[in-house]
Amino acid sequence: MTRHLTSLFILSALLAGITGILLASEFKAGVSNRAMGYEFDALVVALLGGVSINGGRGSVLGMFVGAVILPVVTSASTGLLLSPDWQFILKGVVTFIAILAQRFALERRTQSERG
Amino acid sequence: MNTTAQATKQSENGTVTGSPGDHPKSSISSLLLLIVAIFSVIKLGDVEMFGRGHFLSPDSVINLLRTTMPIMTVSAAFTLLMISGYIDLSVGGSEPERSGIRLPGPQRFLVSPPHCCSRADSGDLCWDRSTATW
Repeated sequence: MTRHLTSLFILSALLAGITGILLASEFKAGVSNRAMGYEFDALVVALLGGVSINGGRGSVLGMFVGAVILPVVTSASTGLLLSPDWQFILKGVVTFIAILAQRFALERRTQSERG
Repeated sequence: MNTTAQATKQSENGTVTGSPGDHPKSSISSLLLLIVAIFSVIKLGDVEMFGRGHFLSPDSVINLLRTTMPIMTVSAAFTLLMISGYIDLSVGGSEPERSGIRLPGPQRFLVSPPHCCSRADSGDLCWDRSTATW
């Protein structure tokens, strides 16, 4: 168990490093605070993907779908010429609705499996 | 017996565990499709479907995927950790520092230095590849 957990944390660090290379190649420069707040974005994306906050449930495939939602909302609201304030509000509302929908689906699934 | 039910078991503390494939992805996929559909038709009178300026134009979709890729990469391992019941809050903050590729200069260019400017009199910094200095 400890071995698997250690492997997961190492994988997390490895992917964080790859992300660092991706972000640095975006600007062709290393900005040390470029990914500030990414841990919370990753948390939101994982929750959007249906991962239980208590652990034990979730999938990476669901996370991929969840990860697309926030950029879709951002891109679309930029296209609609919404002000940044409204964009933040819209993203918050969509995230809230998505997490609620996921919780609802998860609970319904759990109940059906128990019953 | 249902394979989903076989893969699912209930632990002593009431937490239901199961294989990664048996979790409801359909709700989030439906929501994504709904959002895409709403934003696709909302300005349909002004711009052509899939045309330039439309939300689903090829450029927009490529840009969207490009924007998503870093957070997707971080979230992949983050998701696995969360399924295990742990959270790694150290993934944010200093990703460029983790890559470990550093070059000397006013800024540390991790992947490649900027284009060597040929106009030294313009005031731009020039990277000298032979001496690796600015």
